[in-house]
Amino acid sequence: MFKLALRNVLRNKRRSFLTGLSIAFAVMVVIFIWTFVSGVVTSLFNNYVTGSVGHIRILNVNYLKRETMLPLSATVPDYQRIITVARQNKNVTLATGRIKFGVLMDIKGKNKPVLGVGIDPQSEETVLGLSKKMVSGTVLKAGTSETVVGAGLAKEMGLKSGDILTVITQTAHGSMAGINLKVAGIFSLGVASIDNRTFFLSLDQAQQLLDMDGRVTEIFLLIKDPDKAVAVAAEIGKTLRSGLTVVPWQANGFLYFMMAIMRYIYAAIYAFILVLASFTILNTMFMAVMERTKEIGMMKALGMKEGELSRLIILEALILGTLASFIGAIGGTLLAYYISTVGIDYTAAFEQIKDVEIPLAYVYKGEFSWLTILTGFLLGALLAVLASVFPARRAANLDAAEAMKE
Amino acid sequence: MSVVKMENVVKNYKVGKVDVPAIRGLTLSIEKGDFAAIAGPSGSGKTTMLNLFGCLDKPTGGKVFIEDHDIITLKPDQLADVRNEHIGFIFQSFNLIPVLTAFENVEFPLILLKKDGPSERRKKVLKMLADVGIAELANRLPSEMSGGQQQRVAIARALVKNPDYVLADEPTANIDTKTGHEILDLMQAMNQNLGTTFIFSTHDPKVMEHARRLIHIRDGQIESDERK
Repeated sequence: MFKLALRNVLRNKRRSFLTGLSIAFAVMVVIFIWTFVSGVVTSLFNNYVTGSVGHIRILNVNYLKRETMLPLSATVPDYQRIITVARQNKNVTLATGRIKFGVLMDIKGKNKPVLGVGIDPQSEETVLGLSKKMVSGTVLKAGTSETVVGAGLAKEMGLKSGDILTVITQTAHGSMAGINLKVAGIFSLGVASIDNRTFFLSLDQAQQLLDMDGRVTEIFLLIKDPDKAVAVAAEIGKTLRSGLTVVPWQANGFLYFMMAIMRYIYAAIYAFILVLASFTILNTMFMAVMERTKEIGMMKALGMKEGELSRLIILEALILGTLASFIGAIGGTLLAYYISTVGIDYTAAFEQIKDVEIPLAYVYKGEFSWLTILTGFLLGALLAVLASVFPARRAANLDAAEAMKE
Repeated sequence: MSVVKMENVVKNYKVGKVDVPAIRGLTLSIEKGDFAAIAGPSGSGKTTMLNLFGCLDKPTGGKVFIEDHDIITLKPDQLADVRNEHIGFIFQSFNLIPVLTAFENVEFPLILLKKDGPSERRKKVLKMLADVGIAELANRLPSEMSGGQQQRVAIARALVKNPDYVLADEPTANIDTKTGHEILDLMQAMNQNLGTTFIFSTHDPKVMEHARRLIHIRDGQIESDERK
């Protein structure tokens, strides 16, 4: 029966070829887009998480209300005790304090708002991985009056390793304070919104500068399973005193939208592309059944049962769909491999839009996954079979005597 | 002993809202070993009769018995089984499966029958092809054979499962006269050597000469039924 189905597929070679081509192409495109979109989404998520929202953050209630202003008046006191408490939760893999503060930098006579971030260099190594992202110079060390500056910002200000960066800003109490920081190195996280506007300094130096002894603006947490952030945040919230709030990453509307909804939207698009392609199978199998009406009548006369006939037609679609999907999956794998190793470089495009708030990377790579490829392949084959069910039923229901008259 | 029997069979076809009678009260028994021609002008009900004998159609009234089973109560799959086990078909336009070789075409009903293993099927098919005189064409596709050769494949396909009777709808209509005679001679030889019962329709007087039983029908009724 397989032999017969295979030869029937090859009976009209050009039609089978074109049908197969459309399925193969659809499977290939789906695997490619899927790989790329997963990569973009994951990259955006990671940038958001590491650069700002973490999996969970512990903030002062009033800080949250005016977060865009970076208010130093609403901070987290006694932060080391809270970190110790947070680390007792078995889901928490990392807890560290950060101080974010705004500085107006004078660059060639123009004021530019810049973000200073006080960090614990040791803890942040697992988050930001700065040691691997240095363009020049050395990494930041705790307890020194040094800074590492984003590559875009350094370029704009003409800073090199070894230069002195003078930072003048308002303290938590509203008075003015200044510090001279030696540029230890220049980093590039590959994210425009960070590289163009951020410098890091040691947390203790930031506390001193801003008059924030024992305080941070936020406690940044990573947990084992980011999807459980809401539940873990609630758990940690119970152990804290009032005035503080625990914010999971899902509270960021844009990020949540992207992670939760965009994936579904794209899944719908993949399905749509494949369904369109499977229409060619529907058409081809219908034509095959119509052309062979007389032959099908004869086969029924010889004693072929309705079930056997539908299985034959479905088997033909399965052979064609599987073969085409397989070829499409090979093409898709090659494209996916390319997009996930080389990626697409948007550097030129971002030159135009320097000050975007969204942490976009310069180079987007796909997220290579055999699961994506396998799913694309199986979906292609499955839809080919589904599309053939209707023509197969038609073949099975043909009246033998009537069919042979034609 | 009868292999297939009709009792007071009526068959009407609906054309629009009108019932058009094709068979009007027909009683007929085909005996084992018959070599029967059903003759009559076109539109006389020959094909309808063969369709009823072949379980491809059910009568509007009356009964059709195959091996004493009334087929009117059978479901489509059961009818398929009856056709498969008891009836061989030879068609006017050969109706071979174009993508299968002569060997595979003859093997096809045996595969549907699901009784024999591959080696047994092979033995039967090769013997059958030799019996109809085209053993050397086993690996040819229908498109690589002449009409007469294709009809020999069709005869082999009808006979390979050793059916109770073989139905042939104008088996020589699409081949030249000389080849037609050869085909009829072959069918006759099969009838005599293997004892296979044949029922065939024709409107060609020369073909009728070959028949040992000649049933004339007109307007859906038997006009004459004579044995030679």
